Parts: sequence; C-alpha cells; structure tokens
Amino acid sequence: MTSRYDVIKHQVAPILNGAKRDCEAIESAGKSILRTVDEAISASGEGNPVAGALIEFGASTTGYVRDSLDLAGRVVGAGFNATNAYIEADCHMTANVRRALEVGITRPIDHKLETT
Amino acid sequence: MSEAIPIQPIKDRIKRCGDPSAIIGAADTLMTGCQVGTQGEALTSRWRKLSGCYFAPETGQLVASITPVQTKTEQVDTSVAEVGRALSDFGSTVLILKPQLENLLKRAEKFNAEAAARPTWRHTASPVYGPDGQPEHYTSHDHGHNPGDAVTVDNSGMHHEYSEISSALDKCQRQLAEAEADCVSAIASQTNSGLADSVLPPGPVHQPGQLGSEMPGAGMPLLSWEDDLGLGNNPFGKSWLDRAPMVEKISNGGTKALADGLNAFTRLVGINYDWDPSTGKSHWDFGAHVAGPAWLGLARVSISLGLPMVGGAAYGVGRMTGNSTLRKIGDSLNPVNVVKQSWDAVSGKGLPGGWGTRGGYLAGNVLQVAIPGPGKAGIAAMADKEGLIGAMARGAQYVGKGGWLGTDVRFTSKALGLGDKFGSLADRLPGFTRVSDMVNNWHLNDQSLPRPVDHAPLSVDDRFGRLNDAAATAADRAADRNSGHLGQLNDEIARVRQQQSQITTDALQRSTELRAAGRAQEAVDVVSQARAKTGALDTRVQALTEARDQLDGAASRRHAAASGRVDSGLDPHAGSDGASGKRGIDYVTRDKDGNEVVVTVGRHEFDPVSARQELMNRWPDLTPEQAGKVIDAYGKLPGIHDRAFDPATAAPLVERVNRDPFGVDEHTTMTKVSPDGKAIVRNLGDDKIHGYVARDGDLAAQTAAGLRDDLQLTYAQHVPLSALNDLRDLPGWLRHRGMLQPYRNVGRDGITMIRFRPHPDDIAALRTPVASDKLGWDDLPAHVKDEVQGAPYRGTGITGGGDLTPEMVIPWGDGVRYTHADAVYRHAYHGKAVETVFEVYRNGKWVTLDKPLTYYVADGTLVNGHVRLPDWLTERLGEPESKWAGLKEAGMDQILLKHSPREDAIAVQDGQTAQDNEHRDQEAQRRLEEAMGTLSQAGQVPGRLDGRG
Repeated sequence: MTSRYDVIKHQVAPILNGAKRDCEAIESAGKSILRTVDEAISASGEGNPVAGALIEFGASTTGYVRDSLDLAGRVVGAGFNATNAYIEADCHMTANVRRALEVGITRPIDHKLETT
Repeated sequence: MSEAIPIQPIKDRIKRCGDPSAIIGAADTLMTGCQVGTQGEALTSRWRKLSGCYFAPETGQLVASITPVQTKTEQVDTSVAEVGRALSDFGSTVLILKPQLENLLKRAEKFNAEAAARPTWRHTASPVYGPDGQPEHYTSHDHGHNPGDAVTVDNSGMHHEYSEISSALDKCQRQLAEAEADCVSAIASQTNSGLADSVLPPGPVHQPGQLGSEMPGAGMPLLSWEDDLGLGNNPFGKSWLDRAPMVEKISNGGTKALADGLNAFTRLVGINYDWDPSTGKSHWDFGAHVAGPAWLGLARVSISLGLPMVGGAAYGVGRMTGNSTLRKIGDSLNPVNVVKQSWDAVSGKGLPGGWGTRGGYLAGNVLQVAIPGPGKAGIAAMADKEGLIGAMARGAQYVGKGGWLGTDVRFTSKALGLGDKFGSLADRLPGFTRVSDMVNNWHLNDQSLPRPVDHAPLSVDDRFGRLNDAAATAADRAADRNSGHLGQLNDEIARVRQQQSQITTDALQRSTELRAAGRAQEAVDVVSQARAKTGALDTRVQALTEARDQLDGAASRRHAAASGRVDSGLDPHAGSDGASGKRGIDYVTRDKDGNEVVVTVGRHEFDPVSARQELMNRWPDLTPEQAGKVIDAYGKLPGIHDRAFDPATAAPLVERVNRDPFGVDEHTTMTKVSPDGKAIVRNLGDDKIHGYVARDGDLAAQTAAGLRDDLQLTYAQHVPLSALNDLRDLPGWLRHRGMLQPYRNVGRDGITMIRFRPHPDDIAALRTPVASDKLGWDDLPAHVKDEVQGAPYRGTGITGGGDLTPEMVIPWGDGVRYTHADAVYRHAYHGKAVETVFEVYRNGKWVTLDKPLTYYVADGTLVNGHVRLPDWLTERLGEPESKWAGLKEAGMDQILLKHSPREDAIAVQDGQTAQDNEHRDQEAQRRLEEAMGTLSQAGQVPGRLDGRG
C-alpha cells in the first residue's frame, strides 16, 4: 500500500520539482527573449525608433516574464511550502521530512530574472 | 536649389538602418524560438496534475492559481511573435533599402564632387572654368565653335542625376520611415498590453540590461509597516519602535533569550532577527517567508486546534502579554466562544487592551507583509493574498459550521518560533496532543488518498478496517457453523414439499380410481385425508422456514453486532469487552510474507482518539448547533480537558492525563526495546528501567525488523537524541560491563529487549508519553526537544511506526523497578521472530545464562525449542537450535510468558454480543427442535431431519 510519504515522494514531489524546472525554463526562455530583443536593438541601428520601441517592449516583456515568473514562483513556492507544511505537520521533522528534503522538497524557489 | 546633395543625412540614415540581417535573424528567433508560452503551458499542465495526488483544502486553489501563469506566458509568446513579425518586415525592408541608400550615397558623393567642379552646373549651359578660375575659351582645335568663344558645357546630365538621387533618397527615406513607423507601431501595440492586470505592484518597469538588484522595487520596503506599527503598542505595551534599543542590546552581546523572545514575536510582523552568538553576527530579515508561517501557524492554532487548547493558547498569550481579556478567554467555559473569541483575537477583532483596535490593523498589515512581493516567493500553502485571507476566513467558517482545518500544534509552535514559551505551554495542555493527532488525520478522510499511512500511526480507519475484517471473519465462521444446519433445513423443506406433492398426486389418482369404481364417498375421504396431511406438512414447512431464516440471519447479526461494537466503542477505561475485563481484541491476520499472525488491538487504542476521530470524520456534515454540541461533549470527555484551565490546577490535570498506564499492573509483562545492541536499559540501577516501554503482548508477534520499524528505533533521524542516549547509556555500559557484554548474537538484524514485570509500587510512574515537562522535558536541550517532539514520540500513547502499538514512558529520574525481568535478544529467522534470553532477573539480582535460551515467537506465543513444534512451524523454521540447559537453575520456568490467546478471541466473542449471538443460536435451535417435535408427535413426518429415521 502506498503511504502518504510515498505519495509525496513519487507523485507530488516530481510535480513540484518539475514545476520548478518549468519555472527555470520560463526564466531561461524569458532571458532568451530579452537577449534576442537586445540583439535586435543593437541591430536596429543607432537612433532608430524601432530600437526605442524594442527597448520599451523589452522592458514590458521583462515585466511580463517577471510577472509570470513571480506568479509561478509564488504558486510553485506555495506548493513547496504547502508540501513542506503538509509533511512537517505530519511528521514533525522525522526521517520522512529529511527524506522529503532529499528528494527536493526544500525551500520556496526564488526567481530573479536578469538580462545579463 | 542647393548646389550639392547633403551627404551626412544619408550617412545618418544608413547608420539608423543598422544591421538588417541581424534584425531579420533576431526576428526569426523571436517568431520561432520563443518558448515562454510553451514552458508556461508545460508548467500549467504539470501543475494541474497535483489535483490527482495533493489532497488538502487548498488543493483547488493551489491548482487553479497557476492558470494566470499560462495566460501571461502565452501573452508573452504572442507579443514576442508579433514583434518578431514586425521586425522581420522591417528588416526585410531595410535589407533592400539599405544597399540602395549606400548606392545613393556613393552617387551623391560622386555627384557632389562633380558639382563642386562645376559651380554653375545648375545652368543649362555653363562656362568651363580653367585652373585660373577664368572661363576658358575655344581654340582653333575646338570643333563647332568659334575660336575665342567662351567654352560652355551642357549640364542637363547633372540635373538629371541630381533629380534621380534626390528622388531615390526621398523614396528610400520615406519607405524606411514607413517601415520604421509600422514596426514601431507593431512593437508598441505589444508593449504594456497586459500589464494592466499585473499581479505586480505598479512602478517603474525593468529595463533591459538591469541586474536583479537594479530591478524596480529592489531594496524598496514592502510596506510602510514601521510607521503603522510605530503608532501603536505591541502586545507588551511598548512601541514597536522600541525594538531599536533591543536590537542594540542584542547586537552588543545581549542574551540569547532576549533574542529568542524578540524573534518569536517579531516574526509575527514579518521580522526575523538572526543572531549568531558564536560569531556575534546578526541581521534582520523581513518578509513573507518570516511572517507567513508564523501567522499561518497562529491562524491554525486558533482555528484548527481550537477545541481544547485554544483557550489555553489564548490564556498563554494572555499571560505572556498580560492581557486579561485573553486570560478570560482562556478561562471561558464555553468552548465555542473560546474558538470564536480566539479567532477574533487572531484576526484582531474585538480585543480591547494591549492589541487594541490596532490588532485588526496589525493583523491586516501583517497579512500584507505576508504576501510575497516582488522577488519574494511563496507563502505557506497559499498562492496569493486572497488565498491566505481566504484560507483564514475559510478557517473561521469551518469553525463556525464545525469544519476543521488542521495541523499539528507542534508544527505551529515551531512555526511560531515561540519554543519554550508558547509552544511548550501549549504542549502541556491536557489532551492537547491527542487533538493534534486527530487533526493530523483530517486529510486522511479523503478516500482517494492511498492508505494506510505508514508513518502516521493513527490511521484509525485502517484499524476499523482490521476490526471489521475480524468481525467479518467471525460472521463467516458463524455462517460456516450454520451452513450445515441451513443445508439440512433447506433439504428438508424441499423434501416435505415433494412429499406434499406426492401425497396430493397419489390422492388425486386414488380418488379418480374410486370415482370410476362408483365409490364416490371413499374418493372424497381420500382427498380429505391428503389435504389434512399436506396441511400438517405446511405447518412443518413453515416451522422449518422460520428456523432456517433464524439461522440464516445469525451470521449477518454477528457481523452487524461486531460492527456496531466497533463503531460505537466502549468505555475506554473498562476494557474492550466490558464484561470479561479482557483488554484488547486478538484477531488473526497475515504479515507481509503471508504468514498468519495474531495481532492484538486494544480498546485503549481506539479511545479516546478513535471516538474523536469518528467525530472528526463526521465534522464537515455537522450543523453549527451540532458542532457546538460535539465541542461541548468533547470537553466533557473524562480526563482530557478541564476548560477552567489554570496553572494551579493544570499540574494535576496534566499529571492525570499523563498517567494512564493502559491498565498495566504488576502482572503485566512489559518490554523495553532497544535497537542494535543498545540493550543497556538498566542504567538507573540494577533493578530499574526507564524510557519508552510497551506491553509485551503488543509486541509479541513482531519480528525484530518489524519492531524496529514500528517503534521507529532507527535513531538515525534523531542524531542528537541518539548521542544523548549514548552518553546516558555510558554509565550503564560501564556498570554492567562484564555482565551484559558481550551480547551473544547481537547483530544488525536484531534488537535487544528487557522484558519485565513492573514493581507494584512503581506502576504509577508509567505514563503515556504525552509531551510534558513532567517527563523530564525541561531537562532536554532545545534542539533535542525539537527532535524528540517528532515521531516516534508522538505524545499520544501510540508509537509512530506503521503498526500502532501503545507505549508508555517511564520518566527519566524516576524509573520503574521490576520484579522479574529477562534480557532478550530478538532477531529474525525466516521471517519469524526468534528470541534468545541471555540474562534473567530473579530474586533481586541478574543472572547471566551460560547457555542462552532460544525461543520462537510464533503466533503470539513463545515456543521453546524443546517443545515439539507444530509440523507447519517446524517445516517453516527448520529444526531450531535452542538450548534448554540452565532453565530450572535460572528460574526460567517462572518467567511470565503469557501472551494473548488466539482464535477464540475473535472480535465478536466478547460480552453481550457473544451472549446475544449464543442466545439467538439457542433460540433458533429451540424453534427447530420444536418444529421437529411437533411434527414427530403428529406422526406425519419422519423424526429425523435427514429423513433417514
């Protein structure tokens, strides 16, 4: 029979960890966009109004992506936190929690979108 | 008309064209390579799968909360693709126009050079100027002109070139401007189009190239809580701004206690002060990750654990804050009001005094702090501001209508970080931990969650299931017993029906013959006699049918009675069967290997926990009025909670609750189990024992590995405790060295046990392990407490492993003497428990056996190797290597090895239920006999049911 720990380990944790990776992928994709936009800005030529529009668009997109990431981060972080609380409330930092930590249920993820 | 074509604007324009190839490349990337939406969709899709395995009240909210991510990421993809298309169009235009411009630039430069040589090129014909700047004149060599005439040239070509270049430039520039305008327009249409519904606060947007630390909002205070808080007083009656000198004190090397106290309370407003006394370094930490858990914990304290402890919690807070209102709440006799008022306390409503009207504002503000801001990810269990508030409101609603939002108070106390103050006070509240354990099980009510839960011992449902299995087994057995009778009865009924039919047939035939012979009266008599016979047989059939139905209902009645007994529960203090005084129910089950084992389920394992768990199962269906009654009834359960909680009366209450030795007396065989060779449990002296113990009968059927799991003896997760134990054990090891060492056969696959009978004068020292300072709790360092509070020490009287085993604790410093004891090593042998007794305690001293005795624990009884084993056991175990020598000398024949009888102790064989069943059986038999007797007396049917008489 499947224990709750098993459920968390084999079902919840993979989803959370996958979600975390998805967030990272979103962040990566967002960075990729912004890098491309930066390239387009550079390629647009000095003083070109397109470059100015792209700058604004980049800022906007940054906002979008950061928005998405922030929201995703909150949600996923909430999932992590909830699961942490779920486990912690249940196990009181037993070995199960430690094992849960091992399988990746750790702390809320912190997303920062940087365009370097 | 100017004399030359302006070159610099062309150059500037070319420069503004940039690198069209790179633009197109970037555009292609944007159009095709944007994965944000894809990833967002992947995230959303993945996240929604949580609904299939994450079961909690907030599941729906948690799952749904990801949806905006998909929306936003899709928006990003759409926008970026649109921008890519615009850039592509723009780049393609520039790709064509830029070379044209460059070509035009060359032509213009060439033109300008020529124009410079011909200042009068704008005239249709202009003189040719010589090196001296004077018009040249034709000479005789010139044809078509008269010598001396000024030399002129035709300028129409330059005019044409000028026009062409100018026109082309205009066209080019116009096309470029149009392309730029289109592109800018397209880009602008995708800029800021979705930020109106941003979850982020308004403010300057991030600029490309900015680092995270440069992002808008970075370093900005999340809320102006300082000003708000500064206007009011904290729960201690001091301004929050007073923290500054406190910080100074701490920073200057103040006490850790002060830091802890400050930390505990400031966490509630989202402030955490980290101070490392070893280095003296410190820093403040602000935000959701600090306040969120604390407030969530506090909310849960007030909401979910409200029944018995919130009064105490409120009382505790009241004591800590000097708030008389809170103390009154704590003293309140109405538990419903306690819950509500405590909720109000948390939500800041209606609490005059220290928190005042600021309470609500403070709570609201803290909630805002608790909401993650930019760069802050996550708050426990809730996705957003509405989620947290909604959860708290939902909690209040749950309280109102009898719902339940659960967590464990020890988690809460940890989340609160109040540790020694709030937490331990709460832990000491009578009945507290039992409630928390019930709470722990609330999410087990979800039938879709796989169960049982191997690390959560209070899987009462599983227990009920097992009992019901036992009841069903009993019912089956009853049905088996009755089936023979039933078969006989059914056969007899059929036979009598056949007999009736035959009598009727014969009578009709005989009647026909008689009528044919003109003997009408005889024919009538034959039919009348036959009718009388069949009528008598009808009576018998009726009797038989009733008897059959009586028997047929017996099995289901047994089952129903057993189920009823299981469901209704009996007095937890009177034993499981009430009448016989026998505690616990033995029933047969099978272990993982399919071996049949007998497991004892005691009534004490069900009550009071099970009764309340049952209530909790029904909780969501209750009306507020019903919930109030339940709460009221709960408070009246014996020995659990006296709502007039007061420190003066608390101690005896705690003492009472903690002294529930589960009916153990001096005749009860107890066992102290230690993992892997750590058998030195006599470390208080030669005749005392302490620590966690269990009744031997409860452990009898377990293998060493099973016990190690069920009692969670692998102390690996309790390293500090383990180390502490080692230290404590050291004197014992030294004291007994040479006597208990070396243990024979001690290996990693076994456990060591002391099986003992407690001294009658020390019975009272046995307590259920409810976390309490009465158990030497205060002697433990804080970090050890944190560990000890976890499983297996759940503070419920039930061990933390997969199989529920009631356990007791003998406090450190007291100890329990014993009258008889055996030092036992239990190991596994073909899946069965094998015990080797290597030391015995008799007549006030320990005797080491030269030849240890090996027993097999089979079906709950110890089987000595010299006793002939059942064939099946011999088959399974092989020939045991046991030694009998020294038994008499060591007094082993007096060793108490009683274990619960099996088979016959099936659940239904207890008390009134058994009597009822027996009565019904007898009644059925009586009615059967009566029916048979009636028929026999009538002489109309055979006397035997089988028809052979």
